[in-house]
Amino acid sequence: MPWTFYNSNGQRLSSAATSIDVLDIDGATDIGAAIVDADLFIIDDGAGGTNRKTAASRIVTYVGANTDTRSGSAKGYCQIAAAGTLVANSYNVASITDSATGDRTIVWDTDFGNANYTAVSCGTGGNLRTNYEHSSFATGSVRLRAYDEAGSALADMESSTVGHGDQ
Amino acid sequence: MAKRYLTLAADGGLSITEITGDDADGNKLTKNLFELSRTSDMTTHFDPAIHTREAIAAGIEGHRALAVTAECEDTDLPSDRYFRNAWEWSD
Repeated sequence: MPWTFYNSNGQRLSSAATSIDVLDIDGATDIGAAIVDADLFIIDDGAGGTNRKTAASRIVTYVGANTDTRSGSAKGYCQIAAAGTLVANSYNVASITDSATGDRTIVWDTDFGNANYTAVSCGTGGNLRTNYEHSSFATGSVRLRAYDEAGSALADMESSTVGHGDQ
Repeated sequence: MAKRYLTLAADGGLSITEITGDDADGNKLTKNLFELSRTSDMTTHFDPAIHTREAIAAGIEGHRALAVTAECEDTDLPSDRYFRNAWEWSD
């Protein structure tokens, strides 16, 4: 048998079809603790009107898979081999272009939110005296050039690049 | 076997592009052309519905005209890329 009761505003609630706008949560008791994985939320599955419970852990997974807005986390990284090719297990890199001696362009899979982000690169494989310059910062790509101490473009070198910024 | 896409850099040199992972719809390659063609525009986000290969080849505002010059397998390229601008191509 369907139940019926009234909220603190005198609005009628029933099990048949309770509108969300009659729920009054202002006076509810605060959880009093940090949200943990096992806590439950109500969710309308597929926006089809079928309400289900979902654990907080699912929200963490969903958010992590769709956005990476934590300011401190890397939004992209890659290691480039001497031949100008990508080493496996890069992140958020759509392509790499080897344009000339010591001159590469990294194209990000998901763009940065603006062109004012930071890229950090260093040599690997013992290239200790290489200077790396980033230029042409664009929302979807960045150019990386390598020089020796005399300012001459270096023959293709191994390098690693990490990008930080808003996405 | 891995595909490589060759384009002409702004200075006339040869650029060699490697696409990461699958590119079934070709959007990664098109985006690569869009990014390599940038000159003064550093903020426009790639939109595959607008920034088609034809549009990029024709020239977009803030970008230079750019198209794929050739594509080949990585193994078809000479191993010494230092002298790439002296490479000669035949179909």
